[in-house]
Amino acid sequence: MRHFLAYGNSDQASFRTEDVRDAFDVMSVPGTIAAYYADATAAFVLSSDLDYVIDPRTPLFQEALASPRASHVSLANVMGASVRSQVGAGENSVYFAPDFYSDPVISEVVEGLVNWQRDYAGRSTGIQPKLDRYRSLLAEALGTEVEQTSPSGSRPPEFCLSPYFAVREVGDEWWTVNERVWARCAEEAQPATISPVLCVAGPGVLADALAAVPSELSDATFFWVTGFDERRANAVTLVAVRDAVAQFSDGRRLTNMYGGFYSICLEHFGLWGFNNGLAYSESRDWPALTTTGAAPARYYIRQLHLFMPPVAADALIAAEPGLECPCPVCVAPGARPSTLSYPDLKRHFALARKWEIELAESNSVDALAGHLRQSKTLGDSAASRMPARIRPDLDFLNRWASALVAD
Amino acid sequence: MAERPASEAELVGIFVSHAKTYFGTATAPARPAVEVRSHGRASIDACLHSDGLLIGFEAKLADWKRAIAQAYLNTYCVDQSYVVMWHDRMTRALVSEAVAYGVGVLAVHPDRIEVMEAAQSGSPRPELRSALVARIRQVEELT
Repeated sequence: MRHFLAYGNSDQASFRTEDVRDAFDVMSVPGTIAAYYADATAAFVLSSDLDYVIDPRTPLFQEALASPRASHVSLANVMGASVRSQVGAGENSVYFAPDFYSDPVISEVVEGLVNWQRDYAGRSTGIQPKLDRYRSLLAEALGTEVEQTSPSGSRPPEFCLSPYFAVREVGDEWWTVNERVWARCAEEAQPATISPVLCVAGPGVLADALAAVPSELSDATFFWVTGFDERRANAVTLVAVRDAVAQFSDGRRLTNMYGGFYSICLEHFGLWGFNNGLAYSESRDWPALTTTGAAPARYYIRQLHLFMPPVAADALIAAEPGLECPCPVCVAPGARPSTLSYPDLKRHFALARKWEIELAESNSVDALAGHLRQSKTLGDSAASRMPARIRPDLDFLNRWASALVAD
Repeated sequence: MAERPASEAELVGIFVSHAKTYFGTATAPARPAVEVRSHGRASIDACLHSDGLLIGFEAKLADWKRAIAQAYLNTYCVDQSYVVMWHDRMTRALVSEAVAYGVGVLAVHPDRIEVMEAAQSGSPRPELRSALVARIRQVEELT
C-alpha cells in the first residue's frame, strides 16, 4: 500500500523528522500552496529527497468560488489567462459554469497545469540559496552531512495529475468537461504519464466513473469520493467503495486521495494507495476546499483508529491501559496524550499510521475484522467509565469489520 | 423568586461576584479569572486560587450532563473541578453523576453560592496545570 502524506505549511519540521519520513512513500503538495508560496515550497520539496506529487485542486474553480484567497489567485495564474481573468483580483465571488470551460480554455488549463508539474524540478535553478538553506535544515534535523545536489539532480513529481472537476453523476455537464480534459491530455506528449483524477459525489458514481476512464492516460488513477468519511459512512456505502475498488483495480493503480484505516484495509481488495494529512484530511467535502486550514491538535488512538481531543484521549486511555500506545513518542518519560507538543502529536500519528499499514499487510481480512471487533469491545469498556457526553462513538469499527467481510 | 439568568455569561457573572468572598475573604477576595483557555481549544468558565488549590468551574444554564463532562476533563488541569448551575437546577441525578466523576456541584442563588457537593482533590497533569496558572496570571496582569 502506497502511503501519500499531504504537506501543509505547518508541517515542514515534521517532514524533516526521521519517524515521519519513514512512515510514508509520497508527499502530496496542494497546488494552492505550491503556487502561492512558490519559491519556498519548491525549495522545500526539491531539497527534501522525497517523492512527491502536486494536486492541482481544480474543483476550486468549479461553480461558486466565494471571495478567492491569494492562493487561489496564484493557482489561477498557473491555469492560464482565462481562469486568471475570471478570478480577477480576488476580491469578489466568482462563478465557473461548465460552459466556461470551452475547448480553448481547457487547452490553457491542461497545458498550464501539466507543464507546471512536469517542469517543477526545473524550478531548482532559480532558487539555489533557498535550496541550500532547506538542505542544511534537513541535514541538521537528520544529523547528516549536507548533500549538495546539482539543479539537474532534482527529481520531477512521481505522478502528473490531470485537471479534474467534481461530478454528481457520470454524464452530467461536469463529467463532459472531464472527458474533454482527458481528451486534451491525450494530445500532450507522453499522455500515458498523465494520471486521471476522479472526484465523485458517491461510491455508486465512483464505479461508473472508473468504468469510463480512458485508457490512453496513465493506469495510476486517483479518486476522491466527496464527503466520504470512513467513520460516518454506513455499511452500504463502505461496501460500495470496497466493491468499486475491487472491480476496477485490475490493471489500474487506484489511490484514494482522502482516506484512513478503512482505506488501508482495502489493500486486500486492490487499492494501491491512499492519501491523508498529518492527523487530518482523511475525508474532504466539495465544495469545502476553500475552507481548509491548519488542523486542530488531536491525538490518534491507534488501537481504535480514532482521533480525539488530547485530554479526552488521555482520559480514555487512563480508563483502559490496553489502549496505551507503545511508540517512542508515547513511552517517553512523562509523555501523555494531553501533554504532547503539536510536533509530537504528528510524529506519534505518523508512527501509528505506519503500524496500521503493517497491521493490514500482515493480517487477512478476517483477522482484521476480528481486530476491529475486539477494539470496539475494548474501547466501549473504556468509554463506559467516562461521562456520557464525551464518550467516543466507536460503532464505525463494527461497520468496518462487517464491510470488509460482507459478501 | 428571582428569575434564572438569561444567559450563561450572566450566570457566570453572578457566580463570580459571590465567589470572590466565598473562596477568599473580605480583605483578600479571591480573583476568579473568566474564560481562560484550559486545554486544546477548550476554555474554562471560571478559575481561581484558594488555599493553594487551583479550582475550575463549568457553568451551564440547563445541560448538566455536558457541564459534568467538561468539568471532568478540567480535572486534568485543576486541583478541584465544579459544575455551576442555578439553584433550581439541582437534582439528585446531577449530584450523583458529578460525584461518580470526582466533580463538585455548586448552586448559584441571587444572593449567595452554595456547595451542594464538594469536589474531590485530583491529580492534574503538571504541565497543563502550570500552563493554566500562567494564563491566569496573564489575565490578572491585564485587569
